[in-house]
Amino acid sequence: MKKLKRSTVVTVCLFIAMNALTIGLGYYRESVMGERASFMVSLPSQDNKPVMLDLAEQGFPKHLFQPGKVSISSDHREGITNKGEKPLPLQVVTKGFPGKVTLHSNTSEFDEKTGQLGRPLESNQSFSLSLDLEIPDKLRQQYHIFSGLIQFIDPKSGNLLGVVPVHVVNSQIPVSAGDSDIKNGSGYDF
Amino acid sequence: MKKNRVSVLYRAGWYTLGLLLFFTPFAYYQKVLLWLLNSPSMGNIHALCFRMTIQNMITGKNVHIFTVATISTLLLFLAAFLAGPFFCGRLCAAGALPEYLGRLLPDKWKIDWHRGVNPVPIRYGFLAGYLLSPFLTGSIACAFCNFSFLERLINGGLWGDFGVLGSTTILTALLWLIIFGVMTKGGRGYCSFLCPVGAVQSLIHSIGARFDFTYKLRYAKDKCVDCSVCIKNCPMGALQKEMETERIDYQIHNCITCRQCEAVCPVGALSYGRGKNGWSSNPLPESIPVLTEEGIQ
Repeated sequence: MKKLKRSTVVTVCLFIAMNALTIGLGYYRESVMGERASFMVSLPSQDNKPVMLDLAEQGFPKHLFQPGKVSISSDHREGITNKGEKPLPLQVVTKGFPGKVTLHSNTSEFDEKTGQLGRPLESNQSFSLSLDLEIPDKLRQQYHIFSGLIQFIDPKSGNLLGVVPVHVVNSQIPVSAGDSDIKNGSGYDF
Repeated sequence: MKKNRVSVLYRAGWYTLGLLLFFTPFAYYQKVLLWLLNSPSMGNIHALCFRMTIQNMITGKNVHIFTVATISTLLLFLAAFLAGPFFCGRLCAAGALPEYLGRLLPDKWKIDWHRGVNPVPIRYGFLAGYLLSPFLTGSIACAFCNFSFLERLINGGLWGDFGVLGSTTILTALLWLIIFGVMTKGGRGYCSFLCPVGAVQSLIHSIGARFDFTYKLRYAKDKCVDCSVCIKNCPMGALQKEMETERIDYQIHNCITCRQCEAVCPVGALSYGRGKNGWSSNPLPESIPVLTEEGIQ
């Protein structure tokens, strides 16, 4: 009887400990959320919130194994939404990013090479987008690493349907005189 | 020994099928289902995601019936009820990879977690924490996903291109493939301790196995010769020898019904089928007590 009681106590303790550890993993995940920048876009609109990615917020494993590879992505299932009434033909173009940018989406109709959506985005429909890029070592050793733009254009007319400014910084490095605009959040002109 | 190898190879065939069905660049299961649902979504492991669907069912958010993930999760639950964790035991390539990699290392270099620690409260403790996390800290469904990491491995990781890895993804790889993988006896420590999909299936199986019409692992005590071959070969550590009674203890909550034990048993004491399980007070028909001159045997 005593042994059974002890066994039950151990079982309950293990259950609670693992439960707490798992919730701890959730807090850890929250603490390293900053290593992945995210954005939401409403189209057509020129008034989207800028994205700020700070490499100093990388967790230890990321910093150790892959500090230069970063991802800027919309929500997992949606993120880029057509808030207008008409269907929008769409192409994603990046500007000002160092090196090659790889685009990914959750829809099979998105051509990852050209950045073009196979058919117009219907009203109130969404899709997700992720940009993967590698930042060279040299650039990471300065406060302001780069500023770029994610542009959403109509591939036929070339009209700009929406734009998301992207600023990548490393706050571990002291701010230089030219970086004050970024630190103040006013950004760069293109 | 030969039976063991045949069974390991036979199971490898099933896991390869799982790889072709669920992981890109193949993902034939998702592609067919998406085509039937007329959905433009990408046919990859994220479309199938059991982990998020299980969490969504608890939070009530983003529950859509006619999606690949929801349909598949309901099928998974039904299969677990009727036949045990069939997906884990036969189709989950993510669970199988560390087990098979671990076979390349001798057992003396590995940690036998199951010997010292009862995996069941840990398994369900993780599940409870996993289900609570959206309410407390935000979901950890994607952060510690070994399914997603396997897809990365297939699509470039084997050639060094893993894509962008987050800290939690790196930790997942370390835990899934190394610490609870090749360094763990049986190679399925991640399945035992850190897989919510497996834990939910085990929970459902433990209920389903109470009914005679469902499939489960059965034990014929009268045939058993206590050779412990089944214990040595169980990748999940679901079979253990009780210290005092010397009898085999079966932990249904940690069994993936891979049937490795059934394959290696030299006397056919373990079988997979319908009817009574024979583990506790309900013996199998083969071992029904017979009345002799000396009494009931």
